[in-house]
Amino acid sequence: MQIPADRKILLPPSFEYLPGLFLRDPFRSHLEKALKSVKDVEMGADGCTAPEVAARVRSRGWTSPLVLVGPRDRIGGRILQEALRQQGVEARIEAMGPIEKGEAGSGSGEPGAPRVLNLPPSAGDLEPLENLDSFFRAGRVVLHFEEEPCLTSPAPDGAAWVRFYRLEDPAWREMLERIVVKWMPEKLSLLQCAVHFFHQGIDPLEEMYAGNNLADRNPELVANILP
Amino acid sequence: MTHSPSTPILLLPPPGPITWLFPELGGVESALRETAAFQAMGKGCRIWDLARMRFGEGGPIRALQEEAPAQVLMPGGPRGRALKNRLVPCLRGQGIAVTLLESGSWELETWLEGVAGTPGEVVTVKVGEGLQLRLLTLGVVPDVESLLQGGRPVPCFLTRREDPGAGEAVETRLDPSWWGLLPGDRYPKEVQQGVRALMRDLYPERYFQFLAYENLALAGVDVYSEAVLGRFPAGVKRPGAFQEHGPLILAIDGIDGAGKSTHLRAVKSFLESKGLDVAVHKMYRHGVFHDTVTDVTRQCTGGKNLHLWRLQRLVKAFDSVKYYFTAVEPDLARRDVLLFDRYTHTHHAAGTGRYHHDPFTREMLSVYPSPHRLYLLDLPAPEALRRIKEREERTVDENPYMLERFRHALHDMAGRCGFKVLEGLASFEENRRVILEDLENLLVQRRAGRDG
Repeated sequence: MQIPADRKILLPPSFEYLPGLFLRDPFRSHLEKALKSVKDVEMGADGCTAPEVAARVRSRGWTSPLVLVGPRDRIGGRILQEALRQQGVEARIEAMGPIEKGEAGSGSGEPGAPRVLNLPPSAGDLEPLENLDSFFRAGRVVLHFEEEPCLTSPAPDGAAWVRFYRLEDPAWREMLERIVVKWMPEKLSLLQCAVHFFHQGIDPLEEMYAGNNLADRNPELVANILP
Repeated sequence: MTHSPSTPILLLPPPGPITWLFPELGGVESALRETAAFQAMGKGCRIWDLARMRFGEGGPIRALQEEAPAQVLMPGGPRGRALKNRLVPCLRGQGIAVTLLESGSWELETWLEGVAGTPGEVVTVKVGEGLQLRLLTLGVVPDVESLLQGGRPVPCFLTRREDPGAGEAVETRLDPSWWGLLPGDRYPKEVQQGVRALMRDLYPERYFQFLAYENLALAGVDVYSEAVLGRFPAGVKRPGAFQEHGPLILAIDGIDGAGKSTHLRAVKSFLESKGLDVAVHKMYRHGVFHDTVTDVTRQCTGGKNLHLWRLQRLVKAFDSVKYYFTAVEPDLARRDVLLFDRYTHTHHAAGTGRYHHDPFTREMLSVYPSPHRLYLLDLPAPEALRRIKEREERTVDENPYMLERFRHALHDMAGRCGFKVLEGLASFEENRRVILEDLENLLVQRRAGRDG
């Protein structure tokens, strides 16, 4: 991974809809390591919204920053680019990745880190589930699709996170629910909530990153009807 | 093993939003369920633990309807109350009593209420084997620097606490399932802002998740019971069935200022020139109704009563449903064409645009049939605002942010629902030509379909 050291670099945050159930985006860890030597970088991990980041970039006088995005970050990258544009800063998006197969489990070897269950591309390949008993009994587990879905065309708005958990696939949704009910029941309602978001076609984390929180937007929402 | 319907079902709620945000709490509940108090409570009941059961289509609601127990018991804590709120209307008239038990110490929320300390202080508690929890009771703005020493504590609002600053009791006024996550709008402003800053400092990687829950909670949306009970199992119902043999249903949609009314008149006279009996409908009513709803919305000024945003939306949707039965349904039986100035999609765009999530409104409006054609006049918000300024009457949505959000939501639906999108900046004549050409084709197709 070649990172231009002299550029001002921005990363959108990682949107984790199923934290603790799925492994954190492995590409993100990879990218963060690669950026350690870069001086002017915004890692996107401080909880700041895109408008806040854009305002900070403008106040620092950064011109033409580079927004680096991994396979899962395209929507975040576009949100950040638009926020920068509104601040008068033109940024270019540079798509990185995907990383090589086998690097996905990075971090699983660290002390206290959960073990990674690499899921096969097809739900049918996970049968019989009983064989996984010993794996789950041995300690905390997070799930991961070793083969990331291939996004050859730009993902439609908001669809990216759904694809990376494969929630569009009814057979996988059922398999995922079976795994969770059997070995990770405390995560079932979180999964149901994510599936619910998928069915409703909404992307709350992206909305929040874009600064569309009702509490923050309320003053301008009522401005037209004030006496 | 068979069960008598007289054996009650004890419904155990799965973890809720506070545990989604702080999975550290998941272990607490598991440990509490090992206690004798929990074991005693379940005696004589069939236990349905919603975290450990899979249900088919229709979710637990349909399963309960089919099982038809005489009684469903639920823990009396916030999650039990949230589920009961949704279950009771669904089970009404089926002879199933839904009863809340007294909340018990084996419930996460009750336990937390019991062990919590003074607001702003961290309490370290041991739960079960090898599980230790640092708990921060909120209610005042804490010193973040000192909190970060010794590991990140789990911050939590309790239902009702004395606020030392105000000298009086304050409470979190939200749907019960959001228990513990937010101060709600009755806490002082500095506490509300302090909680956000605290969350961002303590858990930056979870901050957007927190904001998303905050947004939904303040807007009065309860995703917990929606998701857990499978209230909308396969998404919300889209508008009702396409009516092959009824009247032609047409709609013109778009943001304020897009030019809908002008095109509506042109379409109406074109259709009438073909000898068709056309009824024009406007499901968004103005006048006293609109003014009253706007008054409700005004109550949201200053960040207070944000749940009224949702109420005003539901009121408007109910009014459109009422309008359907009083005005639209009769016309479906007697007219050739029903021509709508905006359609249900404007309601959807308003809900999605403002607080991102609105399944109930979509479900309610599914009484309306699918339009045979919907023309979306797409216009950039700045141009729409320029046009609107020439009018006298102003509405709550006429600001750049909301108009752009509406436009985005309508665009999103255009792809999924097959709208015919027209460039709002094009001349009236050009768009009129496109619409009328399309209508000619549509009429030919319908005639061919009927003759065939």
